[in-house]
Amino acid sequence: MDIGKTIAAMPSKQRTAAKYLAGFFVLMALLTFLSRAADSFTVPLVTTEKVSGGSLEHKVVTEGSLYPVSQTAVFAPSGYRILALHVEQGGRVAAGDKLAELDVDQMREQLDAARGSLQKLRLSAAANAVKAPDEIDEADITSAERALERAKADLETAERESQLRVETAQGDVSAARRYLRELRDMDDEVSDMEISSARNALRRQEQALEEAYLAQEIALEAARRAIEDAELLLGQEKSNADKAAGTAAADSQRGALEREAANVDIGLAQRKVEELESLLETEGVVTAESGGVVMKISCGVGSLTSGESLFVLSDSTAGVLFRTSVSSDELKHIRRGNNASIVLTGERHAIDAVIESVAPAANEDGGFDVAATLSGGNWEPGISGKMTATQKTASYSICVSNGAVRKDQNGHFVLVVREVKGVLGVQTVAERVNISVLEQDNNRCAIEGPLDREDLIIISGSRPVSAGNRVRVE
Amino acid sequence: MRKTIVFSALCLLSLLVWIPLCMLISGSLMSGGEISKNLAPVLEGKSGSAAWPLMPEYPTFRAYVELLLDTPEFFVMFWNSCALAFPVVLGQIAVGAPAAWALTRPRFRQRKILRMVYIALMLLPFQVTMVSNYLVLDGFGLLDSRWAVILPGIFSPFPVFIMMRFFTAIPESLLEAAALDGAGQVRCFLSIGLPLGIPGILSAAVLGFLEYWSMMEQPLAFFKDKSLWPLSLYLPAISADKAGASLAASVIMLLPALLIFLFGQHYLEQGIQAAGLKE
Repeated sequence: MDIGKTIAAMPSKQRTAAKYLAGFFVLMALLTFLSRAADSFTVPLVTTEKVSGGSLEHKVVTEGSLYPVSQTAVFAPSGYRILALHVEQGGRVAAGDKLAELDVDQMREQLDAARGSLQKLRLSAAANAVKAPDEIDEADITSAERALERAKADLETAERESQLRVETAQGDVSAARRYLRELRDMDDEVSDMEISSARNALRRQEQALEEAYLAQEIALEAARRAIEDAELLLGQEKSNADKAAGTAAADSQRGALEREAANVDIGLAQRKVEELESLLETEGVVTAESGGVVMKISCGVGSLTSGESLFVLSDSTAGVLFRTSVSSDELKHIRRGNNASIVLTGERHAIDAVIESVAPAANEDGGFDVAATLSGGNWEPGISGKMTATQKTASYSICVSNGAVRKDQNGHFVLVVREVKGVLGVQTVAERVNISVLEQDNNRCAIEGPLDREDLIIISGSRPVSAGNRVRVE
Repeated sequence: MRKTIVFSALCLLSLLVWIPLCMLISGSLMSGGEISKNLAPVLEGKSGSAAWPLMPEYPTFRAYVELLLDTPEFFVMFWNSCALAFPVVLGQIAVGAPAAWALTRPRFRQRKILRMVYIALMLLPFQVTMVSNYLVLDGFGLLDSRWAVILPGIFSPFPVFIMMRFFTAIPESLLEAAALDGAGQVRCFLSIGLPLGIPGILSAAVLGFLEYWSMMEQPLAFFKDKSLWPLSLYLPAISADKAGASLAASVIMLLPALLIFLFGQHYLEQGIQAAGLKE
């Protein structure tokens, strides 16, 4: 059958209906496409993942730089002018390399002055040694002892003399009394005048005896005082002698100390001279004792040395440490002995490292200083880099990406893609599954909940996804 | 005068027929709020009577835009309807036309009995054959597939019955002349039966399309998978708040049926005439 002929043979009304019918179906096809396209815009395209087991990895990424394990300081005596510096900070030096030059002329002047003062000190010490020590004066004591002995002799003499006088007076009194008695016995033969004269004579003799007694007491008292005075003088002299002896001992000790001090001064002066001589021997050049990198320069050209270190050099033989600081939160995942990887600036490959030490930071900001040793390679101190420390947790049966875990007022949940049969065929719909979070690291989250290994968990969507929404899986 | 009275009476009667269509079209142009307001006593159980103004207060194509641009489910069901109705109609023509020819022209002894069986089958409503249909389809493993509707549709007796009427109208003398010229049964069917039976075939196709475009029982009985559901099942499934979309969908669903009918109206009329003709 010829369809063209058949259509041509149709009545016009029929042809029009056929045209409209065809147009209708074409329009519907077009609208089908449009509605599908609009639907694809409104249905979020989601990224999913399957539930997996395993352990989490807590990663701590922190920036730091390489420091030498040990450093040495280079000193120069204080008070010398620095004429030139031959290194820069960060520069590498070998043992014996010239670091700085000091002013030699100034040094020579100082050497002369030092030698002069050394000589002066030596002479002064010699002068002190010549001076004799003070002797104790014994003459005064001897003299006092002699005076005492004389006083004692005087007392004895005074006793004897006064006793003699008393005895003489007593004899005179006794004679006078006898004469009076004789007169009385001769009562009639002797006139009253003679008796009265005898009585008077007796009275005079008794008075003389009393005077003799008094004189004896006075003489004895005077002699005793003389002895007391002599004894006092002797004691004083002896005390003076003791004091003199003590003073002499102290003087002697002081002298010894002064000599010792003088010796110390001499030693210092000697050392200064030697120091200057040795500096002059090297023409005032400060050199590196061992090879390494100049970590710090604490002096400038034209300045005077202060006695503190001029340079701090790393010890190239002891290796380097990567030092960085972490917060207390990050510290939970960093342990001594943990492995880490370090990417140094300018390097492509990561270097394996081991956490060597963890200690509270010196600046007391609550942070912690972490040091790690690098394996292999000969790295220069001062290079900065990024350290990634990884700590594995225990194994969990259900782990998902952090993006998959959502939270609302009812707690944590994940959206699982479920297939629902509908008018549009099998549609994928986001279904809420409540879970509890066990542990979380930077990327993944260990959870607990009614999930299967085959469940597709929604991580993200081209637009916000809620439970019950239709979704398209990428 | 009498003609005018009759015409007026018929116009009034035809208005009664037109009222549902007017309501359908005006409703599809109403906003959701307006429909809710008008149908609140019906849809939401509020007191009062439902009102239906002939013209929408604020006409809008929102329901059409929403349906045609924002509801891919509608198109899935629309094309499902097409995927069921068109194969059934094509199958009915491919199977029914030879069957009708066979039951009309070749003279064999059991022809009348066979025709009676066909008519008896045609008279059985779907509800009666549903269980046996279901068991057979289940036996073939065809449930939940389009073939569960298409295959029973293809072998439906109704189009055979329609086409038999048209083939019967072909003059016997014409076929005898062809036979004298050496034409066999197949040749007679292809060269004489089909061209002359076109109105019957097309009227059977139109009727078949209208029937299968709006069928509900077969898909409900045989399709568990909603993705196979035709458009006729979309309308009852729609919720009250989308009544606008439902009315718009009804209008859209009406269009192909209307166009197909307009396309086949001439042949249907011929068929009705043929049924009344006597040789």
